[in-house]
Amino acid sequence: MTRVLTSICFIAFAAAVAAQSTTAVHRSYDTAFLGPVLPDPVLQHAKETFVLFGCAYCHGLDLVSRGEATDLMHSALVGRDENGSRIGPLLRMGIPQTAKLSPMPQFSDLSDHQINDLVRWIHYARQQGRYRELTTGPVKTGDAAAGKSYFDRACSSCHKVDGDLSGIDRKYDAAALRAAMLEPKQERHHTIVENIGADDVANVVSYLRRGRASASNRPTVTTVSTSFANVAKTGDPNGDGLARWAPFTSLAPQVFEPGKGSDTHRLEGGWVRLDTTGSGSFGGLTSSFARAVLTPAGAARVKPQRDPDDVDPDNKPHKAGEPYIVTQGRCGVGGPGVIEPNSAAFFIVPSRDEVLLVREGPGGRHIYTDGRDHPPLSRIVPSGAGHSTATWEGDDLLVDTIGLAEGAVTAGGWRTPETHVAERYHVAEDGMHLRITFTWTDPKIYARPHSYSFDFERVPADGYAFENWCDSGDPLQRQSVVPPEQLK
Amino acid sequence: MTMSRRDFGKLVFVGVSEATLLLASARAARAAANRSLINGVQFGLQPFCYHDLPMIRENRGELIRRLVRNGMGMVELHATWVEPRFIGPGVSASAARDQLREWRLHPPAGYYQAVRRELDTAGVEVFTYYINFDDSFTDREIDAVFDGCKVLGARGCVGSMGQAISKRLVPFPGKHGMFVGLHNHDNLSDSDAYSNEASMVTGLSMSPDFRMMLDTRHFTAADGDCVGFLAKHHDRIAGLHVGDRRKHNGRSTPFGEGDAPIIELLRMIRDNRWPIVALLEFEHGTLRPEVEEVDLMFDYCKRAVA
Repeated sequence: MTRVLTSICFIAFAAAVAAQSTTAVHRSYDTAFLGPVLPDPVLQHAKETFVLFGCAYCHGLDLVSRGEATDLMHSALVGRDENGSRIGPLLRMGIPQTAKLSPMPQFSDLSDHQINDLVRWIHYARQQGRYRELTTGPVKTGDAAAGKSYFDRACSSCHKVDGDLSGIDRKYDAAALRAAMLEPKQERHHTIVENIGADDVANVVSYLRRGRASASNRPTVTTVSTSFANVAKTGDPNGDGLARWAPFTSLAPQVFEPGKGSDTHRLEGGWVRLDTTGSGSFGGLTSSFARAVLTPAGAARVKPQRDPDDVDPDNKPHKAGEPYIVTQGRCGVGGPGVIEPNSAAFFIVPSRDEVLLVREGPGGRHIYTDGRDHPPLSRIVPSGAGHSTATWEGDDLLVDTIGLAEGAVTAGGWRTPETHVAERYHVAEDGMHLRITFTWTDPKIYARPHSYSFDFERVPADGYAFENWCDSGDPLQRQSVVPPEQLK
Repeated sequence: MTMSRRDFGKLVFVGVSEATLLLASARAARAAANRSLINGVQFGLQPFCYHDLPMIRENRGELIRRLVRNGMGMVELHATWVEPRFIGPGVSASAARDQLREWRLHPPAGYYQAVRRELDTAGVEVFTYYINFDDSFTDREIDAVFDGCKVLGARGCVGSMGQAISKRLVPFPGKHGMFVGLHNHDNLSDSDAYSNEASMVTGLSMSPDFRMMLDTRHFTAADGDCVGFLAKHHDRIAGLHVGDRRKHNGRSTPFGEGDAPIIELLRMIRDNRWPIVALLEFEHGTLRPEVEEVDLMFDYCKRAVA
């Protein structure tokens, strides 16, 4: 009896396995052709319908047509279609009268639901494809007058250049503005992205950025690219005989308009780093940061570093009044002090083409927002500032930097010129607090992104900058440092 | 030129060896064709069915693997699986066309023989060579195409040309001992196209070396009577492109879901022992990999003639 039961169980098991095998064969799914399953099940069903009825083999799954099939990506009829108003009847009828070898078949036997699925996929794929097509490559210089004409015709029912779009030319560079205009996720822009031409895009972008002065007559902000000190530290700023830096509002209004409109540049102004955790010791603050997780190769690169300016490595104590060399007198800035603001205040000066970061110390940091790319690494001399580009996301500034000199990164990280550091500058709702979040990525060094944040307080409104003077050839600057008598 | 007995001996040896190899490989291919000979009906494939596989010579190895995987011993080979492409960045269409003509007139020595060996080794026989002749072909070029595909073992050249081009082809197939296959489409609005019985009869009347490559999908979509046409003109039909569609310019469907009488046609060939090759060709959609879809459609045909 036991033997019989065992045999029955075995047969049942074998049958179950066979049934599963058979099922597996019928469930084969041509992922290579169909691509990954889309998160939206309705859209996924539409895509599969487009394949199942044979449309994809001629018109292409992504509307890159094959052979003599109509190019649906650029078809005017598809562009004029609204919810199947034109495509639906055409699918039902086909195109029997044609000069082509094979006429477009008719699909009169399909249900309305199936027709709707085909239409849905055609529009979705067209929007995705045209978005890619129109946002690839640099933004061409367009005709602002023609752009205004297009804007008045197609955009003005929802948008006003001096209303909701006020300041948009400063918020976005040309490429970002183009991408924002055409973003297919914005449903009301679907018709635009399906129909607008590349020239129209360039024209509208030029129109929306029409206030942008040419490079030759654009007011510059180089007068603030020296050095700053904040008034909280220096007392009377006028005592040094330097002219006060011109207040923002006295500069040409097309450069920046602080406090006006939509507060596009809430970042603007001076900031001081907070370090309450460390009670004056930055190590105290950073000790709470999550330690960097390095790859084996990354860990192997890490080596102890000392301050390159330190010419007295034995760190022996010096008596008060005893002179000694504390710096090599370099006028540049090295180390993370450029990327990570230290205890000195720093000022953020946004303009159309760049955001300038200047600090109480030598040099400034240029963060380019004009849409340029990083140059090849071979053309960057690694430095403490590297090469930074940025985009605006609302009021947040998103910075990407490469080309940093090799060295240590806060909380056990490491950097090389290839390493990317992303920074997000976010001002709190009260406008008085700034958080900069740093995220370091480098597949050769980090096993996962290494991230931490610093918080800052806004410098009082009358804070301003002193010029920082530095002459690396001056022996006094290098050597005549006499530490003051320490507090007892 | 003088030739020693030793040289002559070498020449004969090489010639005999090459001929022996080709004969041996041809025998292998013939046997392989039988791989898809089912109850007296010779099946094969139009590789257009592998929609995901670009028809370029670089993919020929993958094509052959798929044909074997699908149990096919015979194929209609499009010229693009064999010939190089000259289109590319900085090359105009006319320049590329000129280069292709030059290549056809002077292919690398032993090129077609090498392709033939690839196919023979896998046991795949070329039934027909698909190429769309048009006005850009010179007479020498047409001859060169026939010469080349004959080396591949093709019995004819098939194309989607219209009646005007067909007239120009009349002198060519006979002198190469081959046929020209007329492939019908379903454009009833084009008087030059092969789409209905009258136009196909007109084409066949141009030359005894012309044969029909009757496409059952297109003829059904053009409201043609496939069974009637086969019964009436079977002696002028070299092969069928077997696929399914709905009438009245209807859409393509999986086999058995449309209006093409596939089962009847295959059984007519089987029962009458007509030497008509049934080449599977379809363009209905599927979520399955194409190799599996070919398996399913081939299985439908096998059961039809079982």
